[in-house]
Amino acid sequence: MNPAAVAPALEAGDEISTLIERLLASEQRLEELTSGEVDTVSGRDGRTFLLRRAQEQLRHSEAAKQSAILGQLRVLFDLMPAMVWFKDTKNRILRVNQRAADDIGKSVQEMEGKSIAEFYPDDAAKYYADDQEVINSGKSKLNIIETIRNRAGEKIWIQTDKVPLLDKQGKVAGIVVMAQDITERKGADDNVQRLAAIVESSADAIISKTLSGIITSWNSAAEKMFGYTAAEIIGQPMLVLLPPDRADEEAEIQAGFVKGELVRHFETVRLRKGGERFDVSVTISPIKDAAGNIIGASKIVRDITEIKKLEQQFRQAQKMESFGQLAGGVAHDFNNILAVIQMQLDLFKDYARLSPEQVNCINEIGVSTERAVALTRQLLLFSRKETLQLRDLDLNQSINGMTKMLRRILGEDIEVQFRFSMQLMAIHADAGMMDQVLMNLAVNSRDAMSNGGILIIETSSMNFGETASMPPAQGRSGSFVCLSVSDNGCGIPPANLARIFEPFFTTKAVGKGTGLGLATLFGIVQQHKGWVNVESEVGQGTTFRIYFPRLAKMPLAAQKPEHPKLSSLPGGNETILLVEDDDFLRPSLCNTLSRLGYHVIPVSNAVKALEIWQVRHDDIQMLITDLVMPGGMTGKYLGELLLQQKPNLKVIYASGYSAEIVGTDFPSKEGVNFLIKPFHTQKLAQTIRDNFDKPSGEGRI
Amino acid sequence: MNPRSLFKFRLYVAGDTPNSLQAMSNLGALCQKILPNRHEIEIVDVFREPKRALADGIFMTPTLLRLMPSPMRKVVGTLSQAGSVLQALGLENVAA
Repeated sequence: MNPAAVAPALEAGDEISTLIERLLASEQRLEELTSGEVDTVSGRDGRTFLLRRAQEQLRHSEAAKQSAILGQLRVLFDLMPAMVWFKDTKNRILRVNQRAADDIGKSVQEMEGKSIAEFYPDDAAKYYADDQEVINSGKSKLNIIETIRNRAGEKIWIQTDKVPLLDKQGKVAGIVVMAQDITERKGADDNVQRLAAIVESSADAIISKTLSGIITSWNSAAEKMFGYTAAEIIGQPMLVLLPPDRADEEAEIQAGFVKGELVRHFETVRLRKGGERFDVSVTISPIKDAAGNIIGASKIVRDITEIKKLEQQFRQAQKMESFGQLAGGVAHDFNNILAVIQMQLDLFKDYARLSPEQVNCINEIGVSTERAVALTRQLLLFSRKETLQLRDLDLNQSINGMTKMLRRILGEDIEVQFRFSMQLMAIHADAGMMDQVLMNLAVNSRDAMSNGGILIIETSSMNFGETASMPPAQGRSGSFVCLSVSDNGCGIPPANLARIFEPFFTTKAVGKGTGLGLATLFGIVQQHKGWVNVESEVGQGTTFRIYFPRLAKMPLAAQKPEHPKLSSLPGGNETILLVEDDDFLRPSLCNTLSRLGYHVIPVSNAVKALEIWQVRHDDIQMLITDLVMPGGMTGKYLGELLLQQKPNLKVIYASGYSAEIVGTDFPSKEGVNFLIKPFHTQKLAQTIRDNFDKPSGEGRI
Repeated sequence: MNPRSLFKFRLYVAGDTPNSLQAMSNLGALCQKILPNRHEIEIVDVFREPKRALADGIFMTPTLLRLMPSPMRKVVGTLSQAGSVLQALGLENVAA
């Protein structure tokens, strides 16, 4: 109050006293008139006067009411499920609720008026930074996720709201801080996140769907496997992943599933986004709500394309294995049959006076027999029981010898161009197999050029160094001969290109191809320590390049095998013990050897041979024995046994199998002490003569 | 007087003053007891509507007016003395 204004009032003290006395007297009288049950009185002008007693009663009841409300608010404040602090702008606690005080283990009285820093020394600065942001901006800061230490010193997670408190002028006077303990919720959230991370990092597609088959979740493996993003596929029916021919499958699974049938590792086929089918294994489990009702399903889908492919390859390998065993088993007998035919043909030519037409017939039979021999060799190649008849040869010459046959196979619509390297194409190879390689490639090219085209057969030499020119992927460094066969046919689609060397893989019509051609080629090339390269473009053509290790030296001039008459062959009069189990081949061989002048003692097995040996070991100068025979004793064992008793005995082994199968310790050499069946009479005669004529002892093994 | 006729009251009060509150509560209880379903009570706060108080010639609160049945009667006080209140309002027969 202004002191100047008070001064006159002091002087009016007497008058004020008088007026109060009058006022009290008036009130006294009014009380008397209204008998204590009245609150107000009004004058004739309508002005109302609240009586003193009523004024006091009213004041008391207001105060009581307010204190009651404040009490209720305090209870609410203390018990609300949050920690609450009212703070001034200097980080001082004005009010704190019981919960906050309990949480730090202090009393409300201890905390109020103190700085936050006294209770949270480590974190106060961090908390105050947020406070200042609110104080400076005058705006609330909500949902701060932070930690605070509880009374046990443990870190708990809290979610904090900070709201500015404004004074009447609208200035920030302080802030109210409310924090909720979210440790449990955060733990649950973290758990959910961990599970989500597992689902996301899974290599299997994990998909959930509703009971009506609508996709509700889709992990990243599912994105990769099916090609749809989660955004694209969620909300779509499961059916889009099913091939049309399996559309019923989903409903069947669903029906069983609702009845409680579980699906584990169910193998089926699904569609990728592009429509490509792929093999999958599916495991389905129910998703239940809190009440245990099935509300959907989770599917774990594994891409088993690779596994299926491996299974297929394994089955293929097994098939090849049994095929090889079959071929090997048949070949032994079949070769014996071919040997009989060849030998009988040779005998026949010698016996009879034949007209040129008849000689022609016999020669045709001979050619067919050769082809049968070649076919048997091809089959044996798979069983790896075929012996390579390796010699040094010039690949150019080899191909040259094939030109006539190639032209005949290819027909008139295909132009063949030969481009021989000027250099010597010397390799250590089996001539028959080289023919086979070229033939197989030519036949494939022909089939690829059904409307005619050009086939280019080319030889060249290649040097692959460590640095200069890198060898192709499968190759290695060194000097190589390259045989390349190119056509401008239909080409091979990329999907097939990877499979062309698989046995029994063929794109040709049933009956037109066996699927063995390129597989045989691959086997031959590998046996010759070479490799194959293929380049192909659909509609443009295909080029095969085959590399063989190149020899530096000139090979001996290739000898064309001849079939001279029996009478012109070298013979003799020595005594030969012939051991051959085949009842058809034995008489033929016996006959041939007799015709050559030898004394032959034919027996069908090793036991019988030993019986004869007991009696006639002085006479017998040579043993010709089959290597593989029934009866428990092999030709090898028989040979060794007899050589022990008679060291100067000559021994020749014969077999339709590779020398490999009788053991690596057997130093056989074809044409010296080993004959591969079927053999020509000429080769037989020459080998026998060579053995007799070389100095004693050299024939020993 | 028809014993089933409607009673209309107007009670003048002064805010939340103690006697006014008591009068309101007493009148409510009285009417519930002896005039169920046949009474209307209008509360008028003299602080809010001083002119109506002036028009009705009200010089103190709480004051109860019996508007119906006529003639109008006036009772001042907390209405705590049930017997004299009933008499003043002409309800002694009803109560019996």
